[in-house]
Amino acid sequence: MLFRSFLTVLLFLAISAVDPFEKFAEATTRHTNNWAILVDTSRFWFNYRHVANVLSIYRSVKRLGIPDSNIILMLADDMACNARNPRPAEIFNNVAEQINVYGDDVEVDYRGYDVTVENFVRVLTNRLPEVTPVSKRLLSDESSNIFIYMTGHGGDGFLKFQDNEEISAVELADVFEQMWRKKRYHELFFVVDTCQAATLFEKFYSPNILAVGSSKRGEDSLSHHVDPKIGVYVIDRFTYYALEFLEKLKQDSQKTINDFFHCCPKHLCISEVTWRTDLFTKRDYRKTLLTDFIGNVRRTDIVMIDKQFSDNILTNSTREAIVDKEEEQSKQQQFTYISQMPIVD
Amino acid sequence: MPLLSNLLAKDIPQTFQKFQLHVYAGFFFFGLLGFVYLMSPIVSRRNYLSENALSPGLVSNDIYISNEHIRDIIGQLRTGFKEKNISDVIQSMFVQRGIEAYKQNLEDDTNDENVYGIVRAPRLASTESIILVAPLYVRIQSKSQPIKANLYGIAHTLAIGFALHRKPYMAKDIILLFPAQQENGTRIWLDAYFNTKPDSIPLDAHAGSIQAGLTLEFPHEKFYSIDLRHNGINGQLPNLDLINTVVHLCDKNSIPASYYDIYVDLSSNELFIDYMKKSLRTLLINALTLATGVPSGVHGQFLHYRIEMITLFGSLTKRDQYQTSPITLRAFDDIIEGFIRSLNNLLERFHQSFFFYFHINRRNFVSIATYMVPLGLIVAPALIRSLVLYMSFFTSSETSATTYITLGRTMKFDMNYSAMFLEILECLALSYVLMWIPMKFTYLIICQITMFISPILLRPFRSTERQFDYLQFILLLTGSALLGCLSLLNYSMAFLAACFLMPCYMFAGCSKFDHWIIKYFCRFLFLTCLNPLVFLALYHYLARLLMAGEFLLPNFNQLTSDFDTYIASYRLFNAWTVDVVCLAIVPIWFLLYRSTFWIRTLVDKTQ
Repeated sequence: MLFRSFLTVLLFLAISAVDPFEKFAEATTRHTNNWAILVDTSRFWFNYRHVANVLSIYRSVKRLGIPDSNIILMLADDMACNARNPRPAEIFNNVAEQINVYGDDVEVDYRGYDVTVENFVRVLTNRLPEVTPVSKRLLSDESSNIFIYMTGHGGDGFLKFQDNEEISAVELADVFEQMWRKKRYHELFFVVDTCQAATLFEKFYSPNILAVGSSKRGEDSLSHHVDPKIGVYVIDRFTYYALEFLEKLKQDSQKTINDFFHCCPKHLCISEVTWRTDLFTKRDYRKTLLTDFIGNVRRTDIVMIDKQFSDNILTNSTREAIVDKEEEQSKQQQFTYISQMPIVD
Repeated sequence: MPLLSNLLAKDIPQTFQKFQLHVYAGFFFFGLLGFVYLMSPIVSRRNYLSENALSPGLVSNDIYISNEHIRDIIGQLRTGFKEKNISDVIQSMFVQRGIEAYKQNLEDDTNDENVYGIVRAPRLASTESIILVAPLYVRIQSKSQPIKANLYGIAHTLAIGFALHRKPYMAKDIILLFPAQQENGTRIWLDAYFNTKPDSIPLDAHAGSIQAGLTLEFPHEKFYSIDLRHNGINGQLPNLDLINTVVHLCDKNSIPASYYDIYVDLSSNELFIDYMKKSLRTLLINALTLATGVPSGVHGQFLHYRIEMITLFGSLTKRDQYQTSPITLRAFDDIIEGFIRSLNNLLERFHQSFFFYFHINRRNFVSIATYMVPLGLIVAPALIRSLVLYMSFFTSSETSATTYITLGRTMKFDMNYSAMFLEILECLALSYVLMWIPMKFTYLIICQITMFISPILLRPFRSTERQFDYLQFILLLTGSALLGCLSLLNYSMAFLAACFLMPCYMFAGCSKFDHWIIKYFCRFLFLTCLNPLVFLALYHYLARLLMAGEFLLPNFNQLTSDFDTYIASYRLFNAWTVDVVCLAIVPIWFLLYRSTFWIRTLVDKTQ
């Protein structure tokens, strides 16, 4: 009996060393319980870029594996259907206007006037009314890594919500401590793109938190460029260069948090990107993978690529490659992830 | 007990008593100099936009209006003007394109009608709106033809309205108004729109709440600069953000924008002395024209309802002698479109920037906090003198043997109020006559002469020296209170009234001295310089000089005709300048004049 179980384990280990699927899966993230909270706190038409910021990060986070059920998206205003939008139902984060970041596949959890400090704190600490649906809750536990991205207008030690209230750095630190005590996160990565962003995380005192902000005290974070056809600034500098970095990221990337910290040097961002790692004691942030926070194990369907499928779904490989590979089908099985947001030709 | 401390005559330092006149004169002249000093870059501020939602010029131009389209519209308008059915023509142009348009009959003998169209916002429920006004006829500065058809203003307003029809990004309605008799037609339209008069017929259609707008007066086909006219009724001004948006767009399109037809060249090529002269001219004309209380265009009527608006006038004044090519109408359309797109971004009315300011040139201005200081300096002598007089009335109860108790304080002398009140009543009665006579210059002169000889005909003021001081004290307090209140309503008028009244106070107070030469000198001054009509003539001459920019000879005919035009039209504008002058300033002046005729009665017994 014991011998048989020993043999099973040995067989399993042997196969995992050899099986190409296992090799592939090992290289990618193993996290299954990662969460993302993406918050845009400012309203009004001229704050279009904040909504575009958050939606672009949402796309990257989703592409790298975190499903909608694990993402809490808060948008303070409706830019897509704003009467001033010359391209109704579309939000762009670039003057080239090639990607509509507010497409079909966007699930907004908190919108409009629901984006308040109270709701934000309740989501983080899970003190929501009983009737709140599961999609609006942060159901993390002590093994979840949480990625929080906030953007809007901020100042020295506060972040402005909705033009009439603000959350202070002290309050935010206390909320994270509550989360730690209630064992609601394993590690937390906090990214903020506002003016004087670094002042928002200087009061944190809970363990296992990494934080990065787009500017330090006394500095303004700047917007990147204007779309003259829409008449507003469409993206902020830090988010623009962070997106450039994230777009090159794949599920099996070995890029670390340190690389992300340096994604926007001073000559590009103009404001000084500041980070905080002193609370992150268990591991070295220089060796921590970015996909530990922004990635998740994807739901995988193993599909044998044949002619029928290639007609319907485009994968990462080209059509000719599929046709060639079909001929050597038995030898090499190509495993690829189905594109989360399929772009149909 | 009115005051906690005993203010006594002995508390006034002796040196101050000796040099009172010098101190007061010093304050007055420093006030005047301070007003001129407002121009300096240390005191004035650079323009900035307070409302960051406006972002003028950030959005690229979306409307392309071809010259053929404009020519076609102008052809139709010309036939409309010739055949006197312009409002029908405009209404039919709207209806052809599916834009709702309505007419409003002005209830008078002429057949004039206001016509207006509303371009609705396609995706919103008409919550807010913008208004573009193009009067059918505008006043121009030529002797031969006082009013001219506003062909190009109407044509471009129509073209922009047609182009913005069905654009998906318009979040506000656009009302396009073409009023018939300039201010009269506008006033009737506004009264009917807001239903202010109980017997007015309400309009056929309304749009959303009107936030701001522009008036376009472009009678000439080719023009060289745009004159921004912002004077409102009774010194009201539009929000500074509105003007700064238009100035920003003009600069972006390289169109010279001027105030009062004075273009100040802000480049470093311009000589400093020229820059100073032009800025000073702008500032002084700004102050002088606001004092009349009459607006410089149709926008004044809208400012009355707190709809921010200025008038853009296509003027033939060149920015310098080297400007040879006129401004293209395409650039002008770009400005209006940029302005509408900026307004489109707003959610609230203009509230962030200043409502009280003076322009120095299109890049600098002074706000109310700064320009109140010169007026304060000018009126300060009145308050100080009244305090000094007050302190000289009272005595401490130990010193004097006979005391006269009044108002809880012991006064040094017996107060006989009856003579004083009689005097005040007579002066007020004579001044109020002015409200009822027709305001022609000749009648005013007759009235003035009556006022001058009244002390001889009626019984002159007989009082002791102390009572004379008491009268002066009352007049000083009344005057400073009046000027203070007036400065919050129409600062320019208060400033001019202060410049006029302060010397009057000084010379009336001087007539306290017994020497007959001083008395006659003071009366003589009152007859010649410190005379309301003379002051009016001086003001008119100064204003003409500043506006022309060169030396002119005084012209009495011009004065009378301008005065008649002013009086004929000021009733139209809800202005109260003449009322305040007749009911408040003239009585004070008249009282001061009559007080120079006071006859000293018995020498008072005490002290």
